[in-house]
Amino acid sequence: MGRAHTQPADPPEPASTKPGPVAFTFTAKASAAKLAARVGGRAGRPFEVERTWLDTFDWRLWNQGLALEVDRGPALNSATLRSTGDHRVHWVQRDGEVPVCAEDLPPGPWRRSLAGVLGIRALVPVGSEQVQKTEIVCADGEGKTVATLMWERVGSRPDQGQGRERPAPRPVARVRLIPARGYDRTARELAALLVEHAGLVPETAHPLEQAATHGLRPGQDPGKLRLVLAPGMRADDALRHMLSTLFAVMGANEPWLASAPDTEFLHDYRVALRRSRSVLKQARGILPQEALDEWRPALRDLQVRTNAHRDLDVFLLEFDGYRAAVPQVGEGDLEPLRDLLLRHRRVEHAALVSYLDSEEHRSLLARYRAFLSSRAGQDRPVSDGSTPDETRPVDAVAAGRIRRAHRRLLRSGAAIGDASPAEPLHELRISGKELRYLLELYGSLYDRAVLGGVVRELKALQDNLGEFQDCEIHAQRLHEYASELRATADVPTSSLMAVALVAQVFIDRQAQARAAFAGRFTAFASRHNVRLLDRMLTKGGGPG
Amino acid sequence: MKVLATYSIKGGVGKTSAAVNLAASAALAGWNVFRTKAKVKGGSRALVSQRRSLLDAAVATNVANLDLVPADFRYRHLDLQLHDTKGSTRVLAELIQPLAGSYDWVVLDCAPSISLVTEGVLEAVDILLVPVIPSALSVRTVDQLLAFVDGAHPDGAQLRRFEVVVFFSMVDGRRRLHREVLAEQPERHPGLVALASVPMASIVERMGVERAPIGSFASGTKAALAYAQLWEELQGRWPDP
Repeated sequence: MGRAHTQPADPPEPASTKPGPVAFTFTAKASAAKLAARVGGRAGRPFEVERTWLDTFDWRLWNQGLALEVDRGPALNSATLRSTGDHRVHWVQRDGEVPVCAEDLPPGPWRRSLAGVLGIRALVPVGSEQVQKTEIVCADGEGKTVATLMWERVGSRPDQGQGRERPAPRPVARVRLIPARGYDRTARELAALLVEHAGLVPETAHPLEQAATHGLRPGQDPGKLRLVLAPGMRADDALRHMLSTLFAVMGANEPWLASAPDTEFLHDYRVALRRSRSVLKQARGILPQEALDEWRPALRDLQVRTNAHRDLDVFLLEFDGYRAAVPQVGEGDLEPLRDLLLRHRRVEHAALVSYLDSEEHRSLLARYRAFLSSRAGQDRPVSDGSTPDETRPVDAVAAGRIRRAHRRLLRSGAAIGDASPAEPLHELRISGKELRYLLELYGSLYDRAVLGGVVRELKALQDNLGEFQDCEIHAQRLHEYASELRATADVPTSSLMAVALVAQVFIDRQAQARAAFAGRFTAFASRHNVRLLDRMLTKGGGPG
Repeated sequence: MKVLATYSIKGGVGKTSAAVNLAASAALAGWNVFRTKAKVKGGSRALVSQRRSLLDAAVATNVANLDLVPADFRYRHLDLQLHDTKGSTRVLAELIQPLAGSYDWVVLDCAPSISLVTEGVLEAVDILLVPVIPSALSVRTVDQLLAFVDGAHPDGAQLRRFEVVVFFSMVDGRRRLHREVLAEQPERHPGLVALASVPMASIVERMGVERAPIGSFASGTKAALAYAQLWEELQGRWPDP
């Protein structure tokens, strides 16, 4: 979803003309006092504040056209939720803490404004700046505020100047025009006045675009894969590019794994890791065998270190669903299970954090980074004979690998009957995942619309297989947890029965998924879908 | 979203002061608040026909989070136009409903009458807040009002969709009668009568001169604290509008 910005590149039209785009952010050389005098406004006292912009890591507020700025200073503490388009205030909170998770949102404006937007993600700092700000109130003849100008001189950011050359202080101030509801026309007139008579220059960028920290860019989810491959590109270059991009996604999420504001940092980290493993698995004949022998087990071991943690995250995320699934269970009967899960997660989290902070992990990252960068230059090592496909065009390689994975999926799925045990279904799930990753990783080579159709059909099958396996794991783990709880003297029988009832819910759901499999697979394997994939691979066509 | 209306059969008992100050208190607490005297620019005919929404007419105030609809003399014909409109008592509720996407509290400041507009208010509100001067005569008007609002619904009081909260207004602590009424009424009507009461104070009248809620020019005064306390009571009863 795009931003709701309306700032134009050109100065706004004079107020007398028909409505058009209006700038709401400007740069100014004039002081606040001079600007106030120019527009007939009243300048308040200047405040020094440290401003932190908050959003989810995947920019859910920004994507809704919102920005949350928290100003902290000796004389002012406030949190303001604004439109990114025109800085219009949605609401403002003086003093008080800003809750970071949807589950922490107290009844009130926070919950109303943010609960539906945050979802599973937490608010984290995404930008910061030191600001000296002065509010200039523009009022009508009756003293009614019709607009506010926020004059802001922005200093260096707290994360700047550390080990680097300090950025030169900005010679000009930023001015934000904040219209009052119901006075849009006045705001338009004021915007024109600011440009034509006060010498302000419209600014196209939102302030957060300059204040973003941690290498973030507003609207760009660091956890989302953005991979563009050019047809004709060497296959080894393409794979290294994939691995480097995925490593960057892991690198963006890894600093957050210790503090873990929400569960999705680990999830996105794992997805990037899993995709990297998938790339390496498909890299035989393209990347040197020696490297594959080193990195495939290394990344698998890294993934294994996160498995239990993620499983527990999923358990806890779905915990409220358990209660809903077994309404006959008494209030509090499942709490011993929740406590147990939380205890286990604390242990797993501590182990993961300890590992991430270890020399072993740092060394692994350094060696992997060196592996990725050593191949990025022009000084390619002489082939050791294990890479006959390294110079083949990536599109040719991609089509071959996708076809092979697709055929394997069709063959394995067709062999599964109503009486088949669970194991082939689990293997089919892995095959489906591999095909999915291939489609995503090589997706930029193909027509986007056709690719979307292919992925949609595959996803429907994967959802079924995922439900089947997840339910099995859930039921199995719940039985293990029940055994653990049984060994605890103070856990009442009603709690043990409650856990058993929840496990039964998953067993029933697994049976339903099993019954639905044949229909899902038949739909996926239909002649239409096979032709769709074939057409996509034959035509190519890049991002349509 | 909760809709609160300040209402009294009698005039001059502090309805508007309560609406202004409670709306400001709610806004200060961080809620998005819409206050209106049900007077909409563009004329009441457009309002009644719903060609114009209350959202279109809202303007910001100098209080953060608080918007209002400015008073408009053309509204004087609203009763007549409602009379000509099918389902007239639902019109106000239907006008207010779209505000739910933008506001947490809607504060209506009603005129001291019993009319079609009043009946429309009763269809729309969640909380009817009634200021009462603590005199025997005024207290009796509360009984009349309750009889009216309960009688207004064909199925009687049990199905009334809104709650009534009475608070004492223009209290003169020097008067024995005021003190006596204040002491006995909350016990006689638990849940109906608010514990907070607003004193008779010239600072309340000064709101008209300052054109602002008391908190913005005389915070810390008894009257300002009384409205804040009244808001706290309401917030305590309806913590999540």
